[in-house]
Amino acid sequence: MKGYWHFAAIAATMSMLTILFDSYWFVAGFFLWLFYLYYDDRLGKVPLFISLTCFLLFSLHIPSITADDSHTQTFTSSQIAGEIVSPIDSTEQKLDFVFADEQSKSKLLVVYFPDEEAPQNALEINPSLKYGASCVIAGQPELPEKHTNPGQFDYRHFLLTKGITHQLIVDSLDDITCTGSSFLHRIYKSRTALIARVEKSISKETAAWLNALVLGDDSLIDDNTVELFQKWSLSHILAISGLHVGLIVALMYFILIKLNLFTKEKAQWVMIFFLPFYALIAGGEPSVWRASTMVLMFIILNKTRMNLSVTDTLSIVFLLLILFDKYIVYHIGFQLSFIVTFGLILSRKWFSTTKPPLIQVLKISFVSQMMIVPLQIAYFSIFQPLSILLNFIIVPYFSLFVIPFMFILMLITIVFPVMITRLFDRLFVPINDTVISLIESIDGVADYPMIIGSFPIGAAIIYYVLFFVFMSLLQKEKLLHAFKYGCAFSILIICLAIRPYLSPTGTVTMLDMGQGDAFVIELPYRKGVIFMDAGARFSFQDMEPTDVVYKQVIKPYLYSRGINKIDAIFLSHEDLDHIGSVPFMVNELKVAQIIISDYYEISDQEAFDWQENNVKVERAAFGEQIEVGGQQFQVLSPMEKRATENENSLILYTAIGGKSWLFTGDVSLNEEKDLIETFPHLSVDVLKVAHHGSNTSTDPSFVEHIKPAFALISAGENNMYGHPTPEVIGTLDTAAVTILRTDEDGAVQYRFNHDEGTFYKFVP
Amino acid sequence: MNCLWCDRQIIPEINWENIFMLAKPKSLCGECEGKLEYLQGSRCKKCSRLSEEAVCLDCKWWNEHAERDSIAFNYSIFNYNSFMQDMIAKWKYRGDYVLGTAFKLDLFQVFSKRFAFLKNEALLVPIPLSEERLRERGFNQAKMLAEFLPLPCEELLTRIHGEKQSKKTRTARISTNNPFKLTKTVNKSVILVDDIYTTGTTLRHAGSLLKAHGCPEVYAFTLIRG
Repeated sequence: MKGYWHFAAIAATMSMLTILFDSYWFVAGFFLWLFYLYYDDRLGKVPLFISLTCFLLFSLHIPSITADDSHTQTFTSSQIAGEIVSPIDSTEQKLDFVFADEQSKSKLLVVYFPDEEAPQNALEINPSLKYGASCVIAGQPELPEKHTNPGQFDYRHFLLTKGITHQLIVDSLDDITCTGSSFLHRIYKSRTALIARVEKSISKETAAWLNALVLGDDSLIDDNTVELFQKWSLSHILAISGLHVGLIVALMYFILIKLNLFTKEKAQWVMIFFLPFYALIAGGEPSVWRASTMVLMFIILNKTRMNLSVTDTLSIVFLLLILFDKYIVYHIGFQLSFIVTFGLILSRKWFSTTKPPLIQVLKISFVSQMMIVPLQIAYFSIFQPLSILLNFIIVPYFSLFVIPFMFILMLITIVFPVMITRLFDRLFVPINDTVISLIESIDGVADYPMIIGSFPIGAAIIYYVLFFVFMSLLQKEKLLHAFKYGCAFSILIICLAIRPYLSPTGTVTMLDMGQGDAFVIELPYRKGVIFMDAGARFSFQDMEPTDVVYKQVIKPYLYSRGINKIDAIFLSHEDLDHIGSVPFMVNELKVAQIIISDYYEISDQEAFDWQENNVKVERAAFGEQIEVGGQQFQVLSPMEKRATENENSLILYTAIGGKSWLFTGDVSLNEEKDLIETFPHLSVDVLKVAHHGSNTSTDPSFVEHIKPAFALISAGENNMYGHPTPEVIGTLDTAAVTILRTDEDGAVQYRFNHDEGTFYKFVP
Repeated sequence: MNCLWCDRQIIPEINWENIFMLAKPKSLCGECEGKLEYLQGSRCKKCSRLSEEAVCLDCKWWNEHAERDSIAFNYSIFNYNSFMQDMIAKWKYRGDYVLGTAFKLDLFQVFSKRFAFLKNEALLVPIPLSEERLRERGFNQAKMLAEFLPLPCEELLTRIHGEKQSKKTRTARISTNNPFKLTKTVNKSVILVDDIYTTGTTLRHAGSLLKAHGCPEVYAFTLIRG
């Protein structure tokens, strides 16, 4: 079996794919491959048997994640007893931990939101909260929130992939009574203490990197930096992995031996006990476990004089981690960490053919980036082709300077007085600032992302086949041949990117952004992407829009559709629930033009933002025809300046996908009356109900006159205004109009081909 | 699986080339395999000896004595370096029969490529040992090699006992009398199989005997070009 363990690991991966995609094609292909190798005397009986066994075993072991409500097991009593099975994650905004219910054996996420006015360390209020403690909690578990928009992060599904079915929000920490703790609690406590100590003794900037790179806590790192790293596929630097573990082992070993503290033999034993401890101290993420278990295995193999190939070690660690925690297979970090390491191990022969270290680094960067392309696109919808070059520059900086520096600084922080620590601190900050701003400036000039909505599994398989053949030809130095395959997988990615431009299907989507409007029209063959309003949530204290809707609804939706250019945004009127997300869109995406009514008052901030980002601003006059990407919009209102912003809303008429549509903004009864007087023959198929279904509009006479078949209502669930009002619903029901509303149906999408189309509710 | 030569464990290393198409299990470890020397570069098209010229000096001599040259060409795989000499000694003279399987894969692959033009219309004939010698060694190394190959193999020849080839000088070898006897005539092409091609005399003796009894064409396939 030695040298063949990767077959067992591939078998486990196949059972995971089978469960994940609910398809037996993977098994079929895998078995064919195995039996061919066996038939052709390439694979022995033992590895064949073990692979098949592994496949069966892991098919039973790996849990399937079905997002249906089969978990809706009810909690009858308002008190649940059980055990805390995770570290207590406590910040100023939130405290949470995972709790295993004794009775139902299901896992819950217990959440507590501290009082914003009087922030207090939650663990001081209730110090009995400890890893492994047995507790009784008063409260009613509920199902976590599901996503209501395409592309949006699905919190319920996310928790399910961690084996957590319910969430329990406690009002007060007094509702939790705990006793006892487990051994792990002490380790996590010392981790928290270490993090706190670092924060206290050095500048926030250095502390952020020290905590992230040594202790696996990146919460102090600036959000923009995290985002920047994610965008450029540099996140792996922030995740503690082989590099970090290798460095700390080398450093410790060196110190133990050079200071004559231990013999080599004993130093190895020290490492064997130290590694699992470090994995816990470093936060216990899958990449940390992968790296430390691998190093641990290498030391043990060396001690016992057992020989295994590197692929074997990686494969056995892979199998062990899944056996230990079956939900780990759904962890993105786990998937990325193993796939990259696998690629790098396969490439060792290819790496060894070049001597210059720079070329080797470039090769490593290339293999790591190309191995994850399908995952990167599937999870983040974005691929930066130039990230290979950026990694080439940045990775050596971190691995040769920052990471060793941070480990040494950690030791210094523990051993020496603050004075010396500060000295190192002062040295690091300016250097690191320069590098981070270098990345930022590269981001400024070389930002040519490919926004690719999704990566279908079929395309992913083709991609990997082409890439594997490409690499094997490269290894055999058949360069011309390899070049052809390189072109082939590049073309595959380009095809994925231009998919929407070839698709005859168009959509009109009413996004569920809570109380407010955001409609996206995507014309067939990507001739145009047009927004009708783009609202935001805002705080009533300062009336400033937040980027929550943009970040959680609009941007994920657009990315999932492969969109980062918008041809036009129509803004009905100046209210934040209609325009609040526009500043974020203008800054981050490419917006070609904004179309507003004659009476829309542009604020100074808007004028500045729009000009700064080269957005064309157009005024739409009454009666005008406006064309965007070949789509005609007719302006039916405002005819003249009215008293309020709502009354000055744009009313637009357009024909899309065989239906006529009327977008009404927040107009009121008077404008509706004017509309039917001015256009007595107006009739529409789809009406965007004005003002979120408020009773200030949608008069029965208006509905009767225009005779819509569908009414779209965009209103927040349980909103404070009581939208949509029973009167409006009554009016629409009487007129036998099909009502589609975001508060009940989530996002609503009309998908059409030529003149035929259907409405789909996102929440069925 | 352990290395047939040094007995160290062989652990295959997986790389891009063999991840899909797993390499067949090797009988020699990477290090020992590296000591085998493949004949590479331009070689004599007649006898496989490494040579800049298309036909080497030896074979020019054979061309001049066309009446004694009964072989179309010989193809060999390895050079007879000292490692190979050690291996052959252990395999052939000290009776390590299994060590011969170390050559199986190369033999099979090279043969399939070089003799594909015969389209399987040929017979393999191993160079025989005399009865005494066979009793002494326990197996015929040429027959063992022939059995690795994908064509039917028939022992058409027998050998009269004589002095060991390796104990003779070059001239003595070239001028020996034909030591073979044919047991059956054959009208198909024949590929003679042996372990080493040194002067080519032995193979040519066998070849002329076959040809004299109606065999249309004789080729030779040998493991080593001495």
